[in-house]
Amino acid sequence: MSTVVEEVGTLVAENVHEILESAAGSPAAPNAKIWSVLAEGGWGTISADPENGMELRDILEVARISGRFPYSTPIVSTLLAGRWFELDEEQLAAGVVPALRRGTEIVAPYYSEGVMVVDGSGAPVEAAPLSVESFSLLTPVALLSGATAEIHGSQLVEARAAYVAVAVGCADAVIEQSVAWAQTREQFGQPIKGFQAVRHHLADAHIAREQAWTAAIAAAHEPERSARWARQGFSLVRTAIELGIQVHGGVGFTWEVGIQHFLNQVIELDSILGETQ
Amino acid sequence: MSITRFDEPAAAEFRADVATWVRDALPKKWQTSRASLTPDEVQQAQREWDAALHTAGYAGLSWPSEYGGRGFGPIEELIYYEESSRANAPDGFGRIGRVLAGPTIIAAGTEAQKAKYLPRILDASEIWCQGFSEPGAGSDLASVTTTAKKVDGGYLVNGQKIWTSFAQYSKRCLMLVKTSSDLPRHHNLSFLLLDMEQEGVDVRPIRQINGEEEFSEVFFTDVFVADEDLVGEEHEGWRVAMTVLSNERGTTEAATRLVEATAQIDLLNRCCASNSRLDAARLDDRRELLRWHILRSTEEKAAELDWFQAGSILKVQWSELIQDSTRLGLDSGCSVHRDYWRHHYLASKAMSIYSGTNEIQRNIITDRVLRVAR
Repeated sequence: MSTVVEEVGTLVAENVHEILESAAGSPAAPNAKIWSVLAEGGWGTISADPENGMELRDILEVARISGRFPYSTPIVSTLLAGRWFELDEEQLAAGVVPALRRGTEIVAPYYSEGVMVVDGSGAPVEAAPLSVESFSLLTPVALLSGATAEIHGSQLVEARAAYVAVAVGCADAVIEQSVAWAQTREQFGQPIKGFQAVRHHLADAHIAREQAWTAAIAAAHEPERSARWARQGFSLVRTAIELGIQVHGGVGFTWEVGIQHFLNQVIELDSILGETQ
Repeated sequence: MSITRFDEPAAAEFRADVATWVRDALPKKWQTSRASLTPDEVQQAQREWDAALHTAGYAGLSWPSEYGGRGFGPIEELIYYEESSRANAPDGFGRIGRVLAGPTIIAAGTEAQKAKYLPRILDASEIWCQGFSEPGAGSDLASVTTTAKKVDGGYLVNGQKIWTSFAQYSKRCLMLVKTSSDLPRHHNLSFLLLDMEQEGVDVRPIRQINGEEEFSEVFFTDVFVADEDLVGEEHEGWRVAMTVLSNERGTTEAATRLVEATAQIDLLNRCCASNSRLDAARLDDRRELLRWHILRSTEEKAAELDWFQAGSILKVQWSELIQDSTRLGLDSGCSVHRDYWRHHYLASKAMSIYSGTNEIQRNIITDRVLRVAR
């Protein structure tokens, strides 16, 4: 596998981006309607047919795009599941999410009614009915009470790479928002974009985001080191988002601006997929 | 046809060939007693290395074949740099000619300039230095004040350059000079190829904070450069200089620095950082990240994707990694390697300054990658 994306990855990412962007409203909630648009377009099943030639590296491209719209659809995990398991079109169209271990609990990184949470054999996880209330914005993973089995081995390795890519998408969204803010916010009678201290924060955010993207790609290539790559990738994304908050000043610390949706998603993914020390 | 991906079998074959060759071709004294060589012996090894590179065809790996190169791409070049750094090969005197002067002449020079200079760059019979920085033009390179006044048949150069590596050994200098006091900034400079072995050129080495004399300041008093040694159009030297700098900030330099960082971090893990294991492990993670970032940037370059931003990120990444590594080494207080760390710590202070300070790299990222207008 090369570090460079193939044409199929770019194509799927562009289309998924267009559809996700067309969804109005808060990015920070499961959006069944937008998922049905994606599923009807066949984008959830495209990795299941080997003839399409979609590899993990291509899924990373889609994952990065979807990270700009945190927890809105199960596109990333469904593409992974299509690659791992023999699932039929109907199951994939409903959305598939992997069960993941966090300490003694089993959790899912996305939840909406109708999706199927699967273990390492692709079978539905036997769990108490999933409660949407457990999907809060501060801890944006769904707790699967009663579940005992989770994905593992090579699936876990691939999930790590894909969710670091999702985190890079979170950084993309925050950096874009921070650049826009720096261009309009005025202090001392001039836009703050002219201050070198602010400009260097933006540059450092970009450097961290690019390094995190490298970590996602490396995680896909080095299974034995994937937990370490995940820890490093999530940490770098956090650095980028922290700088975005700083560039926003006090406004960045408010719930209303919404940077915390991205930051909380990254913190949560790190606690599930990063190396523990 | 050059290699475009690191996972091609041809890439592994090329790496094995280079590794074998480097091992056999290293100057003998360099291999056996590098640390105890006199300055003259070091120079001798550097010259032998230049000659060996030329004989084996490694001198112009990515130069087009019509100019004596091998016509390879960025992946072969990166592999060569990795393997030669891994083997601790000497830095030949011909490096500035091969990496900066040659590619610039190939890209922007006349056929006469190519015929005259390229063969002697490849065999390193003529050593080159780069005359860009001046006391008043460091980060603000476009404000050079060394002048070239038009005279019959050429130019008379007057002024001062600084931080000029290899100046004391150089036959030639590629330089940026001011040719107009009326034209606007970036359109008032010209790019000249100057013969250093003539009257009016005065080279004075600069002693650095680590005691070495790697750089010089160079004074020019009425030094003649013929019209045929102007590269590109008169007053359009800035554009030519940008070609040189985009080569300098490339993935290949990062590859040699990666090897340097690896040696230091290995030493920290093996010996000095026994009381700060977590810090050393984090440096190790950053080193692995740099390695992958270089691979990624090189493959993107080979695939002709948009890799422009890679240069600035890599420069910041490797320079700050080496600085942090040497700082940890110094902080460790290791009694066995105290002198080693002092030397490398002091030497590393230059890294965030040369090749465009890290502040300039961050400005480039905000200006040209994030496109935030000032």
